[in-house]
Amino acid sequence: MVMLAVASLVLMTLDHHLDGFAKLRSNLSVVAVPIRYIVDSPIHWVRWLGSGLSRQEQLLRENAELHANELLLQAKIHELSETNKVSHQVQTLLHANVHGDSKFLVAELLAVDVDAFAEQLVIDKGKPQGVYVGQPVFDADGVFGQVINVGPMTSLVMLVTDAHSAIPVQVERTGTRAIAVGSGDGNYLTLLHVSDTTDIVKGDRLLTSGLGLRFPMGYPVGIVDTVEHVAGQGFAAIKVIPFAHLRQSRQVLLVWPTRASFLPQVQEQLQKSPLTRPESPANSNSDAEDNTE
Amino acid sequence: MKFMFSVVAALMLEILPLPLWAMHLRPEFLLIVMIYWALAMPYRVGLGMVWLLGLVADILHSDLLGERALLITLIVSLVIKLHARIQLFPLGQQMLIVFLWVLLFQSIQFLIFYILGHSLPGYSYWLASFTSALCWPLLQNRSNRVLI
Repeated sequence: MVMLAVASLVLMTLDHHLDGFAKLRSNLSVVAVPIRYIVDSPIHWVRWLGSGLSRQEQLLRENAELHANELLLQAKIHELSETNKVSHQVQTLLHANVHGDSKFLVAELLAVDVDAFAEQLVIDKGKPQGVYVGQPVFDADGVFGQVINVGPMTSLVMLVTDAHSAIPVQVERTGTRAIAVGSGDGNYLTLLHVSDTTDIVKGDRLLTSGLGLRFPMGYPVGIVDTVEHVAGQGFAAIKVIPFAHLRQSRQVLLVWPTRASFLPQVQEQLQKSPLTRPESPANSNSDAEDNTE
Repeated sequence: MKFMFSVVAALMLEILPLPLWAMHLRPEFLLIVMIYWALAMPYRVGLGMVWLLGLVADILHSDLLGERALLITLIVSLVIKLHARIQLFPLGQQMLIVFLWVLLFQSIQFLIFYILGHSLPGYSYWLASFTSALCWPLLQNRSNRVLI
């Protein structure tokens, strides 16, 4: 008993303090894989059967809807390619390399709960697919979360509403920057340190700002639900409803963002400048942003 | 054989997806199954085995490694020490004592959260003690053994 207690105490301390321990941890997650799949597979099959039994009428309607949607998207693509061309020109003017296309991969969520008090989900992609810790995860409607543990077969995703999650965001309308922190109760996020006088109202859309270098810029995060001005407090209490369907999505997108880097001569200039910190190599999207301001 | 089956079932139940409202009601399945076996065959349940199973549960929940392992081993060793007395208790009293054990488990877990500076769970966290105690008759009632 004493030996086991000491062993677990040592394990807990090591796990808590040692970064190198994360590797062992991610390898250990193999143990969980069979149990996770045993739990997941019947649920998966029932869902599959359910979709197989859907009526023809329904399928036809869905098909029509998808066609209509595709037309819309096509139209939007044309519009975007025009905008892209313009932004390309502007960015060349600013001496920043245009960021290339990000790589995407669809991952399936396993139907298992991880922890009732931490909002985490398991996806069926791992190290062989190149998943990495801190990788952004999206669903069709917005930012879903980020990868916090990569195993050989599965990975753990922390949702944006988890109490430990924070995303740098920007208000689409005004460009005000803030940090959206998960509330921990599954439904909303809160904005940190937005002063009482800031122009932000109900219905404002929030996009990722790209600061913090984890999430690429400009992806939808959520919509402002309530703004409360508490008398005597310097900051407003702002609730944000996430766009992503955190409870309903079965599939999510893993993203490998490509970061824009400065042209060599600009980097040289930056190295010489006394303002830049010595440890930052300055090759990122958001640095480019800051530099132009 | 029965032991293996009940352990796998408990581990599966630990991560079975539940609807949002029921998430905090999930009993500590592995703990009560281990308590059951500690009472049913106190001289054959090895603490090392219990510790390893706790570790598997830690991995499943992606908790701090060793946390559940420590707590489950601690409580099972208590159960083994007191088994002769508890085996004679009527069901109601057994449920009460299971409730107290799960409460102890949760209290120490809460303390660990606190020490590590995790965000502390709300009141619904403590519901698991009640649901665990309510599950006890399913395991223990000799006239209609549902699970084991």
